[in-house]
Amino acid sequence: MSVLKTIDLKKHYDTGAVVKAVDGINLAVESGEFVSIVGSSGSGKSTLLHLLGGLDRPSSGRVEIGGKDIFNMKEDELTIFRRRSIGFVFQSYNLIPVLSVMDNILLPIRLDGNKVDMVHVDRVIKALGLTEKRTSMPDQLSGGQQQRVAIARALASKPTIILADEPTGNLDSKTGMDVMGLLKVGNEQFAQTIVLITHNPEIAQMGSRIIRIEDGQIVGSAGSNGGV
Amino acid sequence: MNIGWIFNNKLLKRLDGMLDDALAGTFKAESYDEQLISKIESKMSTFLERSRLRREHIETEQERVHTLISDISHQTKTPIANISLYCGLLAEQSLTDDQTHLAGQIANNANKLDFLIKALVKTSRLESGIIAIKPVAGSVTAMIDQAIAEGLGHASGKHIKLSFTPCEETIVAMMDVRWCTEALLNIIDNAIKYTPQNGKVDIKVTEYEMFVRIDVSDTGRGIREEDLPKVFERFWRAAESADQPGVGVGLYLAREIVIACGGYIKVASLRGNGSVFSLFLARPYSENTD
Repeated sequence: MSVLKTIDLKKHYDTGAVVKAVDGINLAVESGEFVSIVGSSGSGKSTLLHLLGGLDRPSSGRVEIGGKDIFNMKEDELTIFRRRSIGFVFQSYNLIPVLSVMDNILLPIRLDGNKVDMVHVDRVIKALGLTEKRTSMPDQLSGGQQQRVAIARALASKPTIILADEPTGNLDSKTGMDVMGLLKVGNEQFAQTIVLITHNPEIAQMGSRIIRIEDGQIVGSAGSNGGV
Repeated sequence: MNIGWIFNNKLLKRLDGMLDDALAGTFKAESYDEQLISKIESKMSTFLERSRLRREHIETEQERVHTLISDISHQTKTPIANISLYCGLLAEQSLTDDQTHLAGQIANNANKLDFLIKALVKTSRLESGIIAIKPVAGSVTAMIDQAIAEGLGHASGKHIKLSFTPCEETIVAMMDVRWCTEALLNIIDNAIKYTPQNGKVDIKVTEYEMFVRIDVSDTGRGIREEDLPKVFERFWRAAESADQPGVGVGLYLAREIVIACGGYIKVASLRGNGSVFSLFLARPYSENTD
């Protein structure tokens, strides 16, 4: 079952000359898949991720998440949909500095007024090696640890899909591999669907499928399409 | 606020609570009266019961498939052993060259069949959870030494140098020693298989904050980029590997084992420059040793 689908997705900017940042992308991501999207800077991969997450509106085409056309929603509907269905992990960790690690992780669930599934949250915290850091404040953590909190936060609410945009961009290569490993373990242990954007080929290899984009178009893909 | 709104809100809260219970698997119909909510409760109860039965039915079916596989493997063991035995006896007769060749072919294929059945059984047992993998903190070097000891025979047959770049003896990782040794051995065997005579296979350990990484690099022909994510799939084999014995379960099994230990596996390769298979095992942290 596809949990994410794009249909002829385009994002063109008209700044005198037309810039085709995303130019007709058709993509389907199956449930439980870990898809890496690679491309050089300026290839349009970040714009694509923003469109997938409903952070930016396309010039034309559709994005469907869980069968729902996300740009058919009103802005405030989309905001709530994002919170419930999409987990984001960015290069910057975006943790709330005045909240503890635990409170940061639980924030999106609490914002939604939902009962917290503590069994699941504890499993996630354990899997990410954060048990001892639960009461720490973000500024007491290293960069790698902060990114682990951000990943835990994304996994905790069991989103339909996690979108990760260069999550290791601010980390040294060793810590980066470590953090990616935890994302991979999250994918395997919680059957979490993940779309990862990176320019780093070694990191991209974590995915079960690698999609290469250049000039806003898919120029190649490797790996299994769909569940194994 | 009017009464209707308050009532509505209460009803919705009740429904929300019912769904929470349903998700947690603790739902029970609470009231039996003429109210609509009671009717909803009954229907939900029926619905959940049916889903539960359907799930149980599927589980039973899966169980049967696994039992069947295990039965087949058990029943084929003796005939396969017999074929090998009679082949050996046949080869001891005075045969023409052609006949010797044919007997050899039979023996080869019997071995292949034997290997395939064994691998199938392992896979099936692992998938069905008959074999529970229990990761505990264990010595990484001891596990590697064990795998190398078992892999050495295959390497020397092809004059391949199997080496282990020394690392600290004290490194520990979460593993099920028996199964992780098997996983690593599968990867080493795979490296040996696709590395030409006089090549090299090296094992190296790197420590990260959360994982211990074991790299197995070879000097083989490498893997095509589009094939990279496929190598861990069950029964997948590169089109150009048809000349090599194997059925495509070794790496799949390795991946399943490592995942069951809370780690993961990945591969990097460049055509003509060999491949590096990396096994990442979780490091034990204090809270994990409870």
